[in-house]
Amino acid sequence: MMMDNKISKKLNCIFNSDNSLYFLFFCLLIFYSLCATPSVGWRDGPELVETAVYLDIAHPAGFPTYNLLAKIFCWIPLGSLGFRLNLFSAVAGAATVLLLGFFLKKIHQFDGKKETKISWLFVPLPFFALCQGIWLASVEVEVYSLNLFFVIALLGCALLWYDGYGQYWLYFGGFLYGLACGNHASLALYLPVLLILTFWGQPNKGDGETGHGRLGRVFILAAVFLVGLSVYLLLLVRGQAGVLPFNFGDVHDLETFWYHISDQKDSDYHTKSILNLEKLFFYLNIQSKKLFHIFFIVGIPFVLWGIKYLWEKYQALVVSLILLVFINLGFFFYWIDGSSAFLPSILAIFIFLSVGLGQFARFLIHLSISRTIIVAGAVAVVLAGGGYFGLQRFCERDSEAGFTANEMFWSDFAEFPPESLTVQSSNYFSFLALQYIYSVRPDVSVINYSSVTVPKYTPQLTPQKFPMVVFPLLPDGALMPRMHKEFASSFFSVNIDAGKDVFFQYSFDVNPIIQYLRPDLNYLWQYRLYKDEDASKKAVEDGEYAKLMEQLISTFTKYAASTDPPFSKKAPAYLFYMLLSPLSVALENEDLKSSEELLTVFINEFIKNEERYIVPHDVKVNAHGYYAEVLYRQGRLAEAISVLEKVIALDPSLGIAYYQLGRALLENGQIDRALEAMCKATIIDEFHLLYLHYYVRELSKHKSLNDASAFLDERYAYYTKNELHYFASLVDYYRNCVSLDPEFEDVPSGNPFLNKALKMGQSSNNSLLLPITQ
Amino acid sequence: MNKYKKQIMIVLSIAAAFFAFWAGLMEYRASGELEKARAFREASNYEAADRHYFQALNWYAPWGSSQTAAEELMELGREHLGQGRHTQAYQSFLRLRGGLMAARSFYLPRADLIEAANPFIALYLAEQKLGPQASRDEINAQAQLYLQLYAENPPIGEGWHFLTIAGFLGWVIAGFRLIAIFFDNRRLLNVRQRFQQGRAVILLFICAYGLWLFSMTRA
Repeated sequence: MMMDNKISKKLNCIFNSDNSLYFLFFCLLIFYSLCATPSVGWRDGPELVETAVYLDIAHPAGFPTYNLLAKIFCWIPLGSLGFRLNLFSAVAGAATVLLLGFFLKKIHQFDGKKETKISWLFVPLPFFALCQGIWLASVEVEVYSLNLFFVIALLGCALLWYDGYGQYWLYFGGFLYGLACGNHASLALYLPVLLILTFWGQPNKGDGETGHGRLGRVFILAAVFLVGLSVYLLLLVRGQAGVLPFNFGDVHDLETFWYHISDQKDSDYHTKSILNLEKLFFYLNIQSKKLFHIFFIVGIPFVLWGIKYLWEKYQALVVSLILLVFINLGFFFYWIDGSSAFLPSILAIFIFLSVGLGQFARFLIHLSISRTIIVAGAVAVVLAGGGYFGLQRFCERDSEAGFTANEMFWSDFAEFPPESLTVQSSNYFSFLALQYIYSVRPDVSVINYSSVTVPKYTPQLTPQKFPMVVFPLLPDGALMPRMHKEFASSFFSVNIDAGKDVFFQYSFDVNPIIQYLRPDLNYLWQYRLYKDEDASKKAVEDGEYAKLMEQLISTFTKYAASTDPPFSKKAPAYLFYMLLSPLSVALENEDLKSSEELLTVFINEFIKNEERYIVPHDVKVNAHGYYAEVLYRQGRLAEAISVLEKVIALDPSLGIAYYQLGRALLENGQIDRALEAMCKATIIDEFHLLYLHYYVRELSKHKSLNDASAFLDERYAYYTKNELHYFASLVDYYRNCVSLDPEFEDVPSGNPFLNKALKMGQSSNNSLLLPITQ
Repeated sequence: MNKYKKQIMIVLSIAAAFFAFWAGLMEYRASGELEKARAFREASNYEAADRHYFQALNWYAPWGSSQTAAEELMELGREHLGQGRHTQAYQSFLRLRGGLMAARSFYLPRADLIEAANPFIALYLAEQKLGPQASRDEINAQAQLYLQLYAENPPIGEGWHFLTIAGFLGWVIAGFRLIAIFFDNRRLLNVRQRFQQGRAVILLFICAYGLWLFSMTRA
């Protein structure tokens, strides 16, 4: 018994103090650092490194708070700039967990017990810190870990104010909220959450009412909030100051400033479509599965228990947190692949879960179960579960820890001819980093199309206002960017300084650049393997395609000759990695005698990876789809169809799989099934108009032009009804401009503008360049 | 302040320990990459050697293996040049330049090596641009243009950046301090009395905000 008491005291001493939270904070710092991406990484990483280093303007809404804070880390002369900023995310992530620990401790003290009992926090906190979304946000350059830090800090301010620690906590919160919105503008949507926290209840203790009534409080809060929010002036001031290395959206006056900070380019995705009930339930299903995946079914009773407990103590907090979840899910409802976007929801639910677990621990104590046993059990759970998750994350670290992001683009960039110009898609920042962080080739101009378009972005690119060019991207586009060179050179050379070679990087969203450079043009350009589908088909027949594939394979084989392939072996389940990891494994195999064998190893590895990474984790990546693509290109249509049917069975929400299936069925002569599949692709992936375009073309070819037109009318009505004006305008564009594509030359059009274009197009030798200016 | 003294000490200790760990990690990883680079160089696999030297620079610290890696990469480039492998020399020098540039902070590490590498890169590019038919004088003139471009790039206004950040932190801290002064635990401020108390902070806030705005236009 004496022994038991001693152990109990020791365990309590270790786990029932603030020091244990600091210890956890330190451990997380170390762990996140070990897992951190070594360099600029993927996605927005290269862009955010660049904008932090130069205090430039990142994509909407600009993230000025992030840039200003991250800049401090740029001055620490340890590691590369990319790595330092990854560590900034690590610090923000670990600090979030630390604050969360104190927040939960404060909630625990609602019972009036001032003694610190936080041992139960140690069960859930490490799991929270190691869950995929939190971990990923903490090991790569992104704004999300800092965003989460702000969320918990704001909740903490509200809690301290409510608990009578002083009214200044309320105004600290208001000021912090302004700054937080400067980190990620989506936080502005949580205003109702904070209003509820502020006005639902009054402070528990002290003299909360301060002589100024609620109106006065609102006024002061608004004032301090606006002061914090003024951090956004960075965009306007920097944009006006002169030519920045990178200025996404060319912010330079009040109009462009407002356009940028209100993120109008993504408004369709974020808000309008939520009103579509059918889609709402479809995505609700996906989102709920994601949440269950995070918290497991076993967590739900604890979440409910936590809600019940908190409801008795602080109703406003419960309502606020639930509202926060709804707002977060609503805002990113269609962003189903971006786990980082949902961190505030995870945080809110996790708070309920932790409180519930704390009550469970109390319940066990109430049952007279020895405190030592409970604490020891908690430690065991942490060691076992935390260790398991930690190990899992540590192994996944190669997802971000490889140098693939650098190596993948290095050789292209280094080998550009002198004084090249490369035009990049808005979401394609790797060259930007190579130029401005590594400063590899100052003679090469890297242009992000967002920087040259005025007015901004595509929503305004209606056919009436801006003639445009469509460059659909096929899955193979990513692998063969240089195939555009010939076309791009001839096209750009008349517009851009003579003497500059142009490498045109692939892009689906490249329209604005073209319309900027050649506003007199309006044409539809169908990129297949070559300039159009017929040429593409001809290339396949003539063996050119095979030649290119051989060229590609020989490049890979070059890597295979190296005993040190540049690509990470333990690649995870993201698109790039799913592609690169199998390649590296295949290329490392020295026994392969032919490209056919190489391809076979590649495919097998692909499937293996999918089973290891994708299926268990429900990651929405169409790995089998790539396999099917290979089969399709080899003419093994029956096999491709079978694989694609498997893909659809695995994940019926993959529009691309239906599109691929439709294409394969079409080749196989199963027209009706093909059209059905392609139609489904357009419905499922309502934001991917490329599928719509393909479907309409095939529909007109195999059914009738009237069917195609009717379908376009129906889709136009759909997008209009749901206030998806950007997509409606694009459909309208297709509806009007199909006549420019040879496949659609008979589409009747009552539009004199287009009829004129059609006539000119028929008389033009160059169907690609079809001037139809009025 | 005394109330939070313990917490501040703990956080500072954690920060110190974290920096120590960070520095150790850099050296550990840089030395690993350096060893690999040497092995590949030994095996005449120069492309892989370049890559690993470059990755050693990614783990830059103002001392130790990353410095050695930079020097050895320079030496490798010169070796290529000496043996007529111009393209490989160009690749090595680009790796050297890129690796060191990405490790810059308030200073550019091993600027001497970058300065030494730039002329080779410039000359190589000039030859590429003008082709084999160009005369030596033409190539040299073109190389001079590139050299100037490479020497000036990237433009780094770290002094103004520093003032921008100082201004930003200044007004943020002053903002929090002002709230703490003007709104105490119990009642609304006595504006006149608190103004006396907070005027220095108000001044700091205004100056810092002004500094922030002004330096942003120059940074």
